[in-house]
Amino acid sequence: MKKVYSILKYFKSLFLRFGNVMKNVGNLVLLIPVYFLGVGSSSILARIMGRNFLVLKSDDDAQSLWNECDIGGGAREEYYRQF
Amino acid sequence: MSVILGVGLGRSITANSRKMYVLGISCFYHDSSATLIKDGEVIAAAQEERFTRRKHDQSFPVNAVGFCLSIAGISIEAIDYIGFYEKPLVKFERILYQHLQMYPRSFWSFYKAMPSWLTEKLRVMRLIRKKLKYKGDVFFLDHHLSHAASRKRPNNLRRNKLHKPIHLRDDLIFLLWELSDDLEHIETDSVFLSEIYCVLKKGGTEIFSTLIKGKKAGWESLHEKNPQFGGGAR
Repeated sequence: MKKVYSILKYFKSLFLRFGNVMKNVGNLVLLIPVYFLGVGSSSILARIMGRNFLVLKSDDDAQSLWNECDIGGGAREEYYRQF
Repeated sequence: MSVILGVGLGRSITANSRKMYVLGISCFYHDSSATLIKDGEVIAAAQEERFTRRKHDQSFPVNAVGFCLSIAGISIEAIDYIGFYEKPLVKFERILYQHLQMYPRSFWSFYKAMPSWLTEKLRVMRLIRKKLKYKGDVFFLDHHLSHAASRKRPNNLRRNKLHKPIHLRDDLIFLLWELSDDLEHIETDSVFLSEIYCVLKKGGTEIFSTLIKGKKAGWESLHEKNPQFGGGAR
């Protein structure tokens, strides 16, 4: 009985590993076109248009590195939104 | 982190005499947790890792929610609102901006991050309803507002309700607590002591060091100034 259990356990771990590999391959196949076509084209277009998504360069003339942020006191409906 | 959720909501909405329960949830990044607030007062809080025994467990805190509900003696139907600690789409936008800016070097981080975004993080509402069988309203708070509330709320609670400690499971409190040079970041001694008494077992030991010069900050002197704590720990 113990032997059967250990064999089943081995097959289970093998199957889980196979499932993990299949998940990674599936993600790769699906995400490559999304990234290189979707994100890539948007990124290239943004660069051509001069859009800068992240503030990576420091501004020596800036008074402060902090940004104003209004986070509270909104209408109740705002709490229902996920954005 | 989840302490925050709904603290403000609980206060503002509690106009009638019925008890108002708000459940706060934080998950999918690190240290998933849940907090239950009754009429604007924190009555139970727990991290998921304490139940699953997986350090920094980020999975949906089903066990922590169950614990909070059991402390209050209620079921999920009694919860009026569930608060999630951030607005998922705001963070998703920031993540996308990072990938756009760093293209094509961001491919591997995109590959690693996107599956969890598509299966969990963007479907928080559905997961809450499915895993907890909850049918009420779900609120999404600003991430930084949640941080601010979690900083303020527990301290107020402990300062005002020292005779009524938060319910903690036995394995959530400790025999030994060590703090190195943390005392200088705490505004008042009584806050420090209340924090210690919340997590230290009776008869437990607290070891702390401080860089405050010219200030007597020994354990006895702290108790001399704050006699309301008695002397349960040493």
